[in-house]
Amino acid sequence: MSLYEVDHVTRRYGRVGTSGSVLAVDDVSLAVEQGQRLGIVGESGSGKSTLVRMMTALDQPTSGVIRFDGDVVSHRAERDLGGLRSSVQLVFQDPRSSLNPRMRVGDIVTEPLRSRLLRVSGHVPTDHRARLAEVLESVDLPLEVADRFPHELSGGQRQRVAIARALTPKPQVLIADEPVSALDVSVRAQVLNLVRDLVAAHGLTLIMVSHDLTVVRHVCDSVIVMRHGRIEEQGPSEQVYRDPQSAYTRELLASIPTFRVT
Amino acid sequence: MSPLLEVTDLRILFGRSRREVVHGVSFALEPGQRLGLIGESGSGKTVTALAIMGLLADNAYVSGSIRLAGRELVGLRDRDLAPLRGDLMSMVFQEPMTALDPTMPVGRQVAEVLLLHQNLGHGVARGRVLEVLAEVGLEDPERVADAYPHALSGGQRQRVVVAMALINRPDLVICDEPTTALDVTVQATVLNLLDAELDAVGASCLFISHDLAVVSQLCERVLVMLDGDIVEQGTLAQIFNAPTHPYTRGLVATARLDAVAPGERLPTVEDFYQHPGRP
Ligand SMILES: Nc1ncnc2c1ncn2[C@@H]1O[C@H](COP(=O)(O)OP(=O)(O)OP(=O)(O)O)[C@@H](O)[C@H]1O
Ligand SMILES: Nc1ncnc2c1ncn2[C@@H]1O[C@H](COP(=O)(O)OP(=O)(O)OP(=O)(O)O)[C@@H](O)[C@H]1O
Ligand SMILES: [Mg+2]
Ligand SMILES: [Mg+2]
Repeated sequence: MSLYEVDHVTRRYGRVGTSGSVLAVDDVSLAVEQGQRLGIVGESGSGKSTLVRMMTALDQPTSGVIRFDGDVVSHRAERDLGGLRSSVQLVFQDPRSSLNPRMRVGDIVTEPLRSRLLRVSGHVPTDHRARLAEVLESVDLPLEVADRFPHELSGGQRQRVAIARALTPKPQVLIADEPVSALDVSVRAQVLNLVRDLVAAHGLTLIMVSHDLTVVRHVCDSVIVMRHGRIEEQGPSEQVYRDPQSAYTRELLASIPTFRVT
Repeated sequence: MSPLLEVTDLRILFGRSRREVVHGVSFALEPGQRLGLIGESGSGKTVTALAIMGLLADNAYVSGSIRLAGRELVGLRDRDLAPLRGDLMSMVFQEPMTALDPTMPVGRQVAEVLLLHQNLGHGVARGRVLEVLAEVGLEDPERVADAYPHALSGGQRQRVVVAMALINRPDLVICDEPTTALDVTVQATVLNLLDAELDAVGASCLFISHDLAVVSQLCERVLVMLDGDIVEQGTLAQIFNAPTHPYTRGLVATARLDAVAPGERLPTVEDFYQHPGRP
């Protein structure tokens, strides 16, 4: 049994035939094993965020089923999602809209530790101050940002707060939607090194959405390439990077900007 | 030729404690020039851009001088500054939701920018909006125009904001990480459009990005910021081929992700440069 099973999942927004109707995810099936590092790349608007929102039960498939650790998690009441909520953390694509603007950074980062669902699972750090200091340091933020509000930070600092928040409860599975795209190269390197260490030390399962194939190749062992809501290509990341099969993947690789200095 | 934008000894402080985050930076931007602004996260790139636009939060204190087309902007009342925004200068924000109203379809928001400065019938405006949305690579401009921001993907929102910034063809376009949420094929589309639009009107551009490769494709000169100071500035070739500040050297070296074997530890700037006063 795989840790995650996505079984013929489709998500349509709006009613068929209306002008606002979009088939965001179109009959996608995939499996994620414990300890796997899966990258999801693809065109803007191809359904990547929609897919990971459904995998975290924040959105529901129009048809198809999603299982986590053997349990169906699609179309389930929140109170039946204990296993998923205590094991999986999601870093949203846009920290500006996912971080509560009225909470201080320190409270945002430690909030998952106060969740009832997480506390019952047992393995959550109990010393909140210590854990806060630890995760802030791991994303290279000084402890003094804990007293600030999200709008008092830079874009990259906000993104790091979102990553720190997800790491606080030591999740088994980290799902991150474009976690490093807003980061400067140095912080990006640091965050990717951190993720690599977590994978090595705790067998973290990682699902990372990124538009950057070089980032995915660096941290992920396997990759799916999405386009128009469908899986266009999948395989070991090194193989997809070196020997892409679909025309779109080849185009993706060819469009990676290179240094142009004369 | 006198510069379009001249920033002199700009300082930015925040809050009751007057924490200074930009420590007196100076630079100039000639008409038609593209200037890249790179540097560490938190070094002051965005707040510098917001100061030029007059869009800093109320708890910010600005001193020094910002001259745009000969006109002093520091100390100007918002009522005098607002008409310049969108017309003389515009900005693509790092986080698209900063610029978008969640309660209004995005097409209407782009049209509002257009109608603010031009007297057009609504039908003409709508046509122009759809045209610009298609130019930024949106495949289904009608649907996108009628959608609320939350019903768009991250990259779709970002392109709407690019469309908004370009639609009035301003003299100065400030781009703050305009392509971070875009896959590389769309990024190429947007950069080409930007390139063409800037050329078409001879507009100047201050281009903030952490992606050195992108900067190298669009800009002629580069500024490097670190902890609220400009530590180095020069032509593209100077900065990339012969960086003098150790921080810049680290930045250039760490940019080459593809040069590192997958799974290996990535070099960070700290391998090249140790911040004074940090562990
Ligand atoms: N709440 C919604 N209502 C209607 N349509 C939506 C909604 N959310 C997303 N969509 C549409 O579904 C499609 C897929 O969006 P999604 O956010 O999953 O894309 P993505 O692959 O994450 O793109 P990006 O790389 O730009 O973030 C897009 O065309 C988008 O406009
Ligand atoms: N409204 C505010 N109140 C207080 N401090 C702020 C505010 N806005 C920004 N800062 C601080 O000012 C400094 C510069 O922020 P700025 O947003 O300009 O960084 P940046 O160079 O754009 O970084 P990034 O690459 O992460 O976007 C940061 O230390 C940030 O925490
Ligand atoms: Mg997305
Ligand atoms: Mg910024």
